[in-house]
Amino acid sequence: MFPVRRWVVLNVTLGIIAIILGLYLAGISPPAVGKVLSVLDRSLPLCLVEWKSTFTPWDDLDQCCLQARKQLSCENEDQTIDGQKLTKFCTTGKTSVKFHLNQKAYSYCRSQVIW
Amino acid sequence: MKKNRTWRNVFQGGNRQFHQRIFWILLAVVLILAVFSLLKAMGLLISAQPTPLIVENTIDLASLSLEQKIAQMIIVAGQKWNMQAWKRLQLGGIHLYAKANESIFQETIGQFQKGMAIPFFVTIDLEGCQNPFAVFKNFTAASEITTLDAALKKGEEEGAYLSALGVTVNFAPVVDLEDTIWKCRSFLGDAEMIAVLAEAYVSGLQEENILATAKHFPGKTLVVQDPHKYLVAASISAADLLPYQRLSSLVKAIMISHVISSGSLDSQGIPAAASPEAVRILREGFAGLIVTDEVNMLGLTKFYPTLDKMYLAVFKAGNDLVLNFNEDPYEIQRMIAVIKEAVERGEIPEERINASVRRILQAKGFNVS
Repeated sequence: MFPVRRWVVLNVTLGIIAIILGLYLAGISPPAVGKVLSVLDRSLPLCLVEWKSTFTPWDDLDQCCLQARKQLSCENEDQTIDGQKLTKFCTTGKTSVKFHLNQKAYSYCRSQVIW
Repeated sequence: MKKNRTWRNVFQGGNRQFHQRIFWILLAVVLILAVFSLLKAMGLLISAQPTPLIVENTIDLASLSLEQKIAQMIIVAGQKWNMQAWKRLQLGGIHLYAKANESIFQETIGQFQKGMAIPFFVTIDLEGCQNPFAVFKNFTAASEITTLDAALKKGEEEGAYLSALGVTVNFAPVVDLEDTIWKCRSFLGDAEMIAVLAEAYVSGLQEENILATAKHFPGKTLVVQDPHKYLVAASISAADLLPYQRLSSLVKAIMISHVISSGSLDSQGIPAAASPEAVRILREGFAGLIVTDEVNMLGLTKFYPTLDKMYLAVFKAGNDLVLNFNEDPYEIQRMIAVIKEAVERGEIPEERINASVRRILQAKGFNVS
């Protein structure tokens, strides 16, 4: 049999879960982790489009997010281009276009309603 | 002192039965809430629309509710987890993102279409370098096509492939005259050359019963933009519009962008997709479907104080199909409600909705009475 202390911990945990589920059902969602990270990160968002080894910056971050979202997967990467550190690339295959994002851009994309 | 003893009693005392009782009550509450949350997430709390009456391939518009008609004007991101919600809402179409193999595509499309009296448009972006099948099938990028024969063949091959999968609409070709960002989406050459190649490509695609979509009207969406600017403005030349003029009697759909245009096409200070003037000019020489670009982009949402006002603007402007890839079924349901209320209070004429739904149903192969 559990000691009383363990029952209390279980009950508090269940209570918190119940509150979160209740808020979800009421349509109140806590701020997305991506949005929080995006706000905390003071660097500038960066999206680069790669086609046949040519990298071009894309300033329309929302469109970049949408196109990145359409890809099969986003993988981690660790490369620096023109002094900018890139952390994710999204693509569907070797012959397809690739979207490279820094952490700020990726966090922003993840916080969008389309992601 | 008494208080301390009470707390100690709570943690260490013999009131175990009380805690056990609370535990079972909380567990029951959590399970019930979890079931409802799951139902909500899957869109199963959305009430299903009645099945439309179709007699001898003919749909009487008057038999459709206003919600059903508005829903036909919406294309959403077709993910498996919200499939039931989209089916219950009887939306006009689903857009498919990349998947790992052909059988997943076929299975997904089959599941979406199963039991639907009015099938979904199944839309995709197959442009060549933008290729949702790239992990298992390659297609030539538009920028690598230089002859009419090659453009026609590209259209035929892609059309045959999409048809076999069950896709019905391709959001291609891109007929922007310049592509300084991707460097692969548009055909190369001057406006005349791009128009001619696009014509051949569209012919090939549509021969295979795929609706082609020329985009992004009125042009200049793929040029390097000013950083940190949400609202994108561009001066449109007569050359930018030439491909659309050449394709207007052939292509089944045209996608309109969020660019605020001036020059040869003046959107009157409003993003083109929400501009009645831009849509009116496009409609003058074009009888096909006018499709908005995805509406959750800052270029459009930042222009309006609320999402509701943006929704109203794109429907009022005269678009036939609105792309909203918000994956929350309740937001799509809310959009339908916002438009329905606007029609009921006379802000949007019902005939405006009917005209679009008629075009959509006819494009899906129905007769409309």
